Amino acid sequence: MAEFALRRLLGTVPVIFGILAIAFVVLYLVPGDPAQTVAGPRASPEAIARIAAEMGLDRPLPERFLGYLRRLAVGDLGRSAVSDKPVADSIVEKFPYTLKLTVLAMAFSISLGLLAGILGAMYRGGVIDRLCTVLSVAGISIPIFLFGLVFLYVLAGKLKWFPTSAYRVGDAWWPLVLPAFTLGVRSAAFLARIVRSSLIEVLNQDFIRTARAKGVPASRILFRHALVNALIPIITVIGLDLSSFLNGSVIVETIFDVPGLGRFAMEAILQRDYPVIQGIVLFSAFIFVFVNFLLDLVYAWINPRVRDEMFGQA
Amino acid sequence: MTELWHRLSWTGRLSLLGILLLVGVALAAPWLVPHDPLETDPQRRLARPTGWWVEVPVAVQEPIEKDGALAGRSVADLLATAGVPVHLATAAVPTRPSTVWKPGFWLGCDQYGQDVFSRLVYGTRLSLGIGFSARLFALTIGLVVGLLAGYFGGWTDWLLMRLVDIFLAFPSLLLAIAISMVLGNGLLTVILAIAVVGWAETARIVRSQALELRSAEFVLAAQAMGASHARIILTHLLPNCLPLIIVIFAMGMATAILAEASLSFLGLGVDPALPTWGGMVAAGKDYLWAYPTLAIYPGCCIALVVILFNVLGDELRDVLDPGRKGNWLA
Repeated sequence: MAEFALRRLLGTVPVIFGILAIAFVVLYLVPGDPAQTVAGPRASPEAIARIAAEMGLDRPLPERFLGYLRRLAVGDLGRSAVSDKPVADSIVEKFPYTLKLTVLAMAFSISLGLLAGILGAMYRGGVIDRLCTVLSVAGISIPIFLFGLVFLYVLAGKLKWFPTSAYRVGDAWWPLVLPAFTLGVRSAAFLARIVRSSLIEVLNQDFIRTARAKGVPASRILFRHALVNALIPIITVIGLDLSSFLNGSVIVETIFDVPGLGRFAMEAILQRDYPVIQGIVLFSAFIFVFVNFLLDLVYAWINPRVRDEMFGQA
Repeated sequence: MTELWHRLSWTGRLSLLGILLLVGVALAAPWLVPHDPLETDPQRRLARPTGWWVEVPVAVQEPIEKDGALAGRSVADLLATAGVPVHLATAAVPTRPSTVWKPGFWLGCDQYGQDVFSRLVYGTRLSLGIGFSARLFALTIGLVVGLLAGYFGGWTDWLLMRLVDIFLAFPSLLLAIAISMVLGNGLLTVILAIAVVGWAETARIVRSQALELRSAEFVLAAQAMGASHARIILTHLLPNCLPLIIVIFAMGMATAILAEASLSFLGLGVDPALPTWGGMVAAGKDYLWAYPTLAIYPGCCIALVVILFNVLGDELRDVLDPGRKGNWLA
């Protein structure tokens, strides 16, 4: 297990390097001169040159890349081109909201997804199964912003069950419930499909028939025998959700005014604040790599065969 | 083709018909719309839906000359000045009815006075067109990378799969955003941004298929007979991946259309003046409280198309690729 963890950890090194390189190149290719942006539109050419020298923009590209890596190593993501605040500070300040949103969304999606998936597998072919299938296709297909706007209009606007803006959420959880539900719908639908199909696959196997023949109660078969064996695909989906939390939260946070990372990213994009965008992209890519690393460890722990398979080819 | 049709269930057939219908709408858009989707009119701003036909006043008769001696004078007026008696002059010019009947604004107008229905119809064109191009692009790259990695294995595989890992590690929306930042707004940018996000997933699926096929007996036989790598890949691996490719394509269309809609919704898609569904939702969002349908109608269009492609993809997978049933993620 320790060897597996170490090899898997080493495997992330080229990926991380690639991410850094791509993020650097993207920022380099972005049109517009960063020194010009910092200096302002009316700066003299000398002032721009001075600022460029200060920022190290006149150095050769490999040297700039090294300097960039060195700064990243100490957690320096640069400063916002708009507010001049350190990007790392802003991320630390805004991340908790997005994390809270993600955790709540996960809670919704796991509970709803598991419930729908189990019901679908248990009553396979019946009315409940059909209903769950239709709902999950809808959940996967309907764009998240449509869900968001409809929920906002009906539940927050007309029925007034929820606040229409989560901007002053502070330490409270309540304003985040509706955004989190919106964010969770899609993955709940996804999870329901995966749970249903992997449960059906397991339930058709011989050991389940044996257990049933022995007279093991249905609930015990479901939870002790079937669900445990369907765990891997379920964990995959949960991991995918966790790591791509930013995708959905950009949209959800924009609609519901959540002061988190997604909204921050959106504002930065609208203002062409490249250092901030780069910082957020890097941050979320790292979270993705980290979560995937943890997931693989969990897989290997659940199913030892994975360990051999994963490095069987290379 | 007919065999495929017979093997599809009725939901599959229904979704296929629905998609064909939408493709028809996209192709015939110019003949289907009652109004120019880009024509703005401040007087129609946020107008409520009307009936099938509306009675509109005829535009004031055009003066014969913009400027100069005759500027601002009607035909009757000119005839009168030329010495024709007044009653003859007015009779010479046929009296026009003061109003005409024109097609109505069936779903109302947006904040620029543009006809929502016409924009929705044209949106079909943009949505399907962008989705299709992006998918084709992503499929080509993914196919090449996946086949090479799966067939050659070893270092080629390792290197290409790390590349895939890197692309999968970026949150897809942010990657697309980064690309549209570098290349600026535009049709090609959006297509490229969606394709760059989609190819990695395709490459991974194709690779696993190619990996299986590599050790199949007919491939080994071809190798033993001295067939070149290119020949084996093109004539043995590629045709055997075809069912998989069709499934990936249908499913990918759903993802690509959603991605385009999300980018447009965030204002990072094509020119916001163009009638994309995502852009219409974004524009309608600002009027959500008073005019919710402005955002809801285009949103429903997106949902409908994506549902159709997802259902068709599911059905095709069950028919063409039964081994992988259900376990699509792995």
